[in-house]
Amino acid sequence: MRNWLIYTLGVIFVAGTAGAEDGKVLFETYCGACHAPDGKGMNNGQFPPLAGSPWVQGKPDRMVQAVLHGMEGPIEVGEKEYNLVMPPQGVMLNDEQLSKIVTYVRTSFGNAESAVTPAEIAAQRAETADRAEMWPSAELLKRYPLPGETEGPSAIKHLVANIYHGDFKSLADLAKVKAKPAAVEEEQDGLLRIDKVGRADSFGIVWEGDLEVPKDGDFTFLMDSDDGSGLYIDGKQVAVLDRIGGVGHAVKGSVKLTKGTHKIRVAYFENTGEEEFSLGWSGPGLPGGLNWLTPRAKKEKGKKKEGFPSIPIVAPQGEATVYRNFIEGTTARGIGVGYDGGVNLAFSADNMAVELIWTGQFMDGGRHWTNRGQGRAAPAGVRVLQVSKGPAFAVLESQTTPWPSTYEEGLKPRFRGYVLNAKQEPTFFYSLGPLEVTDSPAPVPEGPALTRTINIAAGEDGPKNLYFRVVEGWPMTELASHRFDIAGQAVVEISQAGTGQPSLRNGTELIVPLLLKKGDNTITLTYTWN
Amino acid sequence: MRKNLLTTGLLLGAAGLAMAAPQTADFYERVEIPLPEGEVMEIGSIALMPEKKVAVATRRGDVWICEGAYEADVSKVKWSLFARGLHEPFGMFYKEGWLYLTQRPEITRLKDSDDDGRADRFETIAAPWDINGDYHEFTFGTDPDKDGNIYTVSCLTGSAGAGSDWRGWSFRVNLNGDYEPHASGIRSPGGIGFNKEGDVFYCDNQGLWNGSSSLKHLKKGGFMGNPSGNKYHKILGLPAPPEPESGSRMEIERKRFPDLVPPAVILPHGKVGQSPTGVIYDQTEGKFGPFAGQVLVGEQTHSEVQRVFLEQVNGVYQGAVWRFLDGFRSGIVPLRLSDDGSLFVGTTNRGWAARGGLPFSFERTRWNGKVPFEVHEMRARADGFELTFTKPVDAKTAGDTASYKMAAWTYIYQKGYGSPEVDQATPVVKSATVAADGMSVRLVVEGMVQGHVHHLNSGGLRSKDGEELWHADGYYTLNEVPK
Repeated sequence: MRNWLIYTLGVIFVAGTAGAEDGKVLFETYCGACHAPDGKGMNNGQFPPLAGSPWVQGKPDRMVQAVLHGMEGPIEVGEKEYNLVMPPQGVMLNDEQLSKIVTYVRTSFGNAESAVTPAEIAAQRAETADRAEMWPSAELLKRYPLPGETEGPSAIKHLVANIYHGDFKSLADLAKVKAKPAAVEEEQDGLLRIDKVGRADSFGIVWEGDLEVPKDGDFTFLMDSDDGSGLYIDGKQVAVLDRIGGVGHAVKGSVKLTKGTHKIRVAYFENTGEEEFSLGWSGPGLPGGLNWLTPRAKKEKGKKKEGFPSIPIVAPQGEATVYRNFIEGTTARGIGVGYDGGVNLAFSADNMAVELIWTGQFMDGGRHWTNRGQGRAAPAGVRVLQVSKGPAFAVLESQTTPWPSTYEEGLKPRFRGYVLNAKQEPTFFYSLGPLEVTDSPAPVPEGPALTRTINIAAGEDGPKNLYFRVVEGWPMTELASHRFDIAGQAVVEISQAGTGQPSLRNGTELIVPLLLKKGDNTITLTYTWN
Repeated sequence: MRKNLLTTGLLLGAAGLAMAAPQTADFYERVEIPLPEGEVMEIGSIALMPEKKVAVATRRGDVWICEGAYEADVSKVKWSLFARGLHEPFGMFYKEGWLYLTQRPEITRLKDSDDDGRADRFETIAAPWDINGDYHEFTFGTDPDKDGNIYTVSCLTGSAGAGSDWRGWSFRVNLNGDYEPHASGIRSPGGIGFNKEGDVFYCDNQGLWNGSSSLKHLKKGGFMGNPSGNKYHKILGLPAPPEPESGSRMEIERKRFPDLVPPAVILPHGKVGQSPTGVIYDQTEGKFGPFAGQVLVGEQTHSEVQRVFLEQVNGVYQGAVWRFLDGFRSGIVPLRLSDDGSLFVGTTNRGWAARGGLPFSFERTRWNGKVPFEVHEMRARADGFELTFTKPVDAKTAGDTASYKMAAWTYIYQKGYGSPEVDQATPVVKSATVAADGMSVRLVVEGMVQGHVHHLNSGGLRSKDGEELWHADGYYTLNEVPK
């Protein structure tokens, strides 16, 4: 008795140890943090689900490759877009462990796919042994398409489309047609397509062909259409959607088929308005998921969603607000300022310049404040003018000396920060070599307009021939002395005090010499939108 | 028959009691501090201010000040907005009227100079590193050391490149803004801080050239292992940096390259968290429990705090890690321990998933005065390890070699992402000698492997009062064997 007890405990202990490396435990240890222990994706779906995901269905190669090498870039699962990074696991986990994890995922959370052996993992490893980078999601999908999105040969051979013209309101209307088809098309690729009919309303198609069934068993068809459709195999009705109406009411039909060729017939009609048709099937011997018998191009062409919500950043009443982040159109050290009253700017703390000005809404935090925040966010408003790029100040030998692309050593820039006034409006301060500079932008009440008051504190021997580049990259015309039109969008006015004669170079580069004296030198700029 | 049944019942009862494993709530009390209504407070930095105020900086770039965070009842805390519009600060401290913070583009200090409760001066201290718009280019900064220097660590561009200047480098920056490169070879830090001795440590996350996440000693002039940022040695006119061979072992490469600093304590990936973050040490001299002077490391994915014992052997830092506090509501990034023993943590799960169920939180943990039975220190000896404990051990189980199990492994030092555990070995505990006071045990171990993580499971051990260890598994990184 005692021996038996010990024996039992021993067995339990051993089983427990082996269990510690089973697929569930491995999955929860290495994958569960993001994909969630239930496979639904952590944080209410902030991370992509594996439960029911086509990414884990069908042939295992796509999933195994993503796990081995990692993947980055946008993907869609269900109706949702994700843009995260799947870190590569192939270096850290061995074939045995990966086979357990992949098999666990493919057989859990409602997934019912085949198991994957360590040998298959090893073969996948060998196939992409040279790969040093993560898979870009698009490249991975191109090489290992999702089930049913295969562009391989369709299962329908000898497919013929009979096209009829007429005011069809039901399948019966289509069946009644006595006239010869308006056209007969052979569909070499075996796909049922409605986009080559040559008209968008009042037509019907009857397709006929040979369906190649890979194995004996029960097959399920899923059909959706705008307007009506019917599916018949070996003369028997399998699924029917006989009405006028839009897609989103897919019908399912199941049929037992034997291995080999079966006659397939599909009738479809379009009355008026939108038109669409889709048909897919699943069953033994077919890749997992739905295998489409209709082209999927329409879906791929679908509108590209931006994968983040809108989080408007709004200046409070009577105040400005600051947004330091990656802003499209200025450098990485961008400082956005949104003023009450609908004018905005972005200051570059690399180039020491106001580089963007715009009106309307300030910025949207959606890109940077969801997920990892990759990339630059464009201003949320309108009439965006990039007025400056590169250095804003330069020492030029003459008015015709080309503007330098970076600050030269004598004007080495150093950003020193900003001070907010009672209205939370910043004055930027920075140094350029020996010069100490402040730049105080402010909205003009009767605008939309912005002024900038730039103060330059110079010493005894400040740089001679210092120029300021007011606007660059827009066609400009001189309206009056020190007053220029910027591409019909806005007018910029430069103070006469402290400046010499502005010079418009090539019609697109406006520079002005600064007449520096010892002590404070102040110039002002006003941008007024038309 | 009846007597037999009774005995069985008692035995089962005792077994039931023994099986109620100790948990965090038995020793530490955790409270969630309510956050301002409607605000997204993904906390990346925490600073302690005078008058028991606590400042937090969020990943969205706001700085908020909390009053009442030390109160027994935190439901009445008051929050005020101090600043907006900063760029994802990771590292903030208070000094002489200013809040200093390390934000993505620069080190900045903020002040409210007109006493209206909001910052109005934002002064740039220094901007030694560059950024190019990639989300991965984080920079983390420390408090000032005793000489007033801040140390920074800058993540690579993406997880592999140095697309902007000085990615993968550490700088030492003084508060006047003078700076110099401090160390190189960094991959993807999650936090940076000091140990009790004032040496700088940071957590580097598993990835390229980093087989497992680990706590690394940021030694001056040291190369931390990832060569992506190596081009800057040439720009600086420094001697050529280490160019380690992919597929090798840290133990081998560090003999070739004396500047290569091995991870002080490896946090075995998956076993002790997955994404280590903030680094602090327990300066409270006992107010936070029996671990005074030890290092605490935040963990983002598993929402935990780990405990680290560090020692220097032959001039190299190494030591052991144990899991410590768990149950936090989201992924921990910053930790801040006040002298009274209040541990504040800030959390976020944005972009990187975390356990706990909340997208962000601000939490406070205090020791409840009950001493957990734990391995306190694990020191390497020439022929084994010496363990000290928080409570006297039961001499019988502690002296029985069967109470201990050891395993050892290392990681491939390689260009690829992470590494499996390799070169497995099974060191054997040959003897266990209990000190007269029951507070330490000397293990003689056969088959220790230099460079390996040594996993010691002391699951058979009991305290004098019959308690099992709160955390039976410790992981010692044996860079050096004491001579």
